[in-house]
Amino acid sequence: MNTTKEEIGLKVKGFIQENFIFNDKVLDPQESLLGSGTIDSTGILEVISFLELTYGIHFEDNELVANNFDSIAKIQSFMMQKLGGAGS
Amino acid sequence: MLVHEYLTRAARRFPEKIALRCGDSRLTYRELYRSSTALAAFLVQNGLQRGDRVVILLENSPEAVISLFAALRAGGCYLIVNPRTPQERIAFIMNHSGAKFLVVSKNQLAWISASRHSFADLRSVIFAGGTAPDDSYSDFESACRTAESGSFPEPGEDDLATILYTSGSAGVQKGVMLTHRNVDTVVSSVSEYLQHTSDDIVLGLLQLSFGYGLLQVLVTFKSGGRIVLEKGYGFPYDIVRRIKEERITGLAGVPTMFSLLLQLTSLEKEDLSSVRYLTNAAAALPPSFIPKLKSVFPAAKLYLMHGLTECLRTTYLPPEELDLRPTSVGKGMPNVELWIEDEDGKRIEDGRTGELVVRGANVMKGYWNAPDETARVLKPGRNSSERILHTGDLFRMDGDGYFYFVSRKDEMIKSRGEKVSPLEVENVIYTLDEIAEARVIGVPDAMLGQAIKAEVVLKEGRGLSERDILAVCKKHLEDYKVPHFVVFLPSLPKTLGGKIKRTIS
Repeated sequence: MNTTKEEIGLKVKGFIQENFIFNDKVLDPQESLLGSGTIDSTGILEVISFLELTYGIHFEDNELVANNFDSIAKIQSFMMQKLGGAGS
Repeated sequence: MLVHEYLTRAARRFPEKIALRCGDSRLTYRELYRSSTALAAFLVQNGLQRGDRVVILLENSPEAVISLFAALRAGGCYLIVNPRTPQERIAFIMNHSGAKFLVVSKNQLAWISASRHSFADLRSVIFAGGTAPDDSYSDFESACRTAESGSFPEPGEDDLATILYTSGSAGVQKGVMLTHRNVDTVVSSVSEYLQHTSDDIVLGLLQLSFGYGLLQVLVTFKSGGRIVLEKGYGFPYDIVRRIKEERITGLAGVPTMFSLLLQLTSLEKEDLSSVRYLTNAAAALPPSFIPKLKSVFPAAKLYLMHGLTECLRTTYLPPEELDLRPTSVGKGMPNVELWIEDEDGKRIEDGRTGELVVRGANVMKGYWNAPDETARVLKPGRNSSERILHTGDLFRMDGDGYFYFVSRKDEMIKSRGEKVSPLEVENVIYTLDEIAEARVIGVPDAMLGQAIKAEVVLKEGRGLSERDILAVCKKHLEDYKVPHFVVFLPSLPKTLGGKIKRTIS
């Protein structure tokens, strides 16, 4: 079954909501996760591990950059590319 | 020297030099100086008087740096508060410090709008991050274009430069008061042993709200170097890229950060030879990291250091001693006297463990509005006018006079370099109705120093998951105070008097 961008968005949003947000903050998909103070440095790594586990993939060193993971929208685009490229 | 004079002096020496890079924004010393001076004028014109507190509730950003220098230039005292601090804690700091000014970004806007009326001394909120939402906010950009009129109050070296809030053992926040002289003493000593120059380009990955994170910026500005400020270290390959791109020469880190970097398998292939020094503080660096760091950063000297909020920095290990004593944090830095005392206040020099005592111009003036807490740690020194700091950190010394951190004297847990009060975490866990007993302890952890373990006993017939306990902790506590493990037990060990035992037997 093909994973869609929307599904990835929902999963990541759910994970962040459940683990990092304990007030009435509404997540904006375009907002920088680190820059907005939503998640701290170690939290970002939890998100990355969550993605690796959920989708059974491994990220290369040079993929661990803000451009791929610093917002829900960026995660969605990058994951689509990664999953598509992996042929799953 | 007054702390804001670092910027004034560097702007005179290197006006066109890039002083600060953060993301895509680059500011020269002249631009930084002009913006902070204009913002200082804004603060004074809006009623800031000498000694008034300015709370800066911002992530690492150019606005945070401009605001801190502006507060000092205006004769005020700044408090940088990490925006990830729980709201109730921020509210406490606002009121306890009697903050008159607050600088915020859009991330805090909603709750600040709702709760600002409860901050009794607050006069003005400055909004950094676009157009101010309404007239009750001042716009940061416009404030940074305020024309100077009249003169600034001239603070002295004994005026407070900053208050750093830290957790006390009872879980109560204490505000460490540091004067310009305190801060400048430490900045000068650190600059001296790191041999900092205007050619240094420092990668700032630590939060400015953290004493160690603040020092990396001030040391750089005092020497007229460049700081490349990041919002965190969550993206390890970005760190590598930034080091190469900016030809970084200095990197201040904590074990967690070094551990993340060393997990990159391709690191050996990267050219990181521009880095001439690495520093580690806040928690002990696992000795196994040392050879790896040396191989990845072939030109770097590695400095192991110790400090605490109450005096910022105490020791450093000269890099040439590293192979001989990889677990030592070294000797006292320049201009500081250190010794170890036993329970009776006698000096220990025979290798036994005792409390580290600090004497020097780096020692804080006390805790803000907390004379009893202050008297417990600042005690009369060699002459009646001086106060020496009893750190609560247990140390031992080897035969050559090098210091080794052993543990905390009180029950405080030291995790990720931050002090965590077990009582504070237990109190949060006890707010859950299902909990019968709770005990929070520190367990050894290579990366964190100590990991936080919560042991809980549930009331009969009640169910609760680890996730429920972590959720309540995450809601009311800073990230570093949230337990790493939760264990459910049928009962907890008690003292004869029926109290839960504190120590692990």
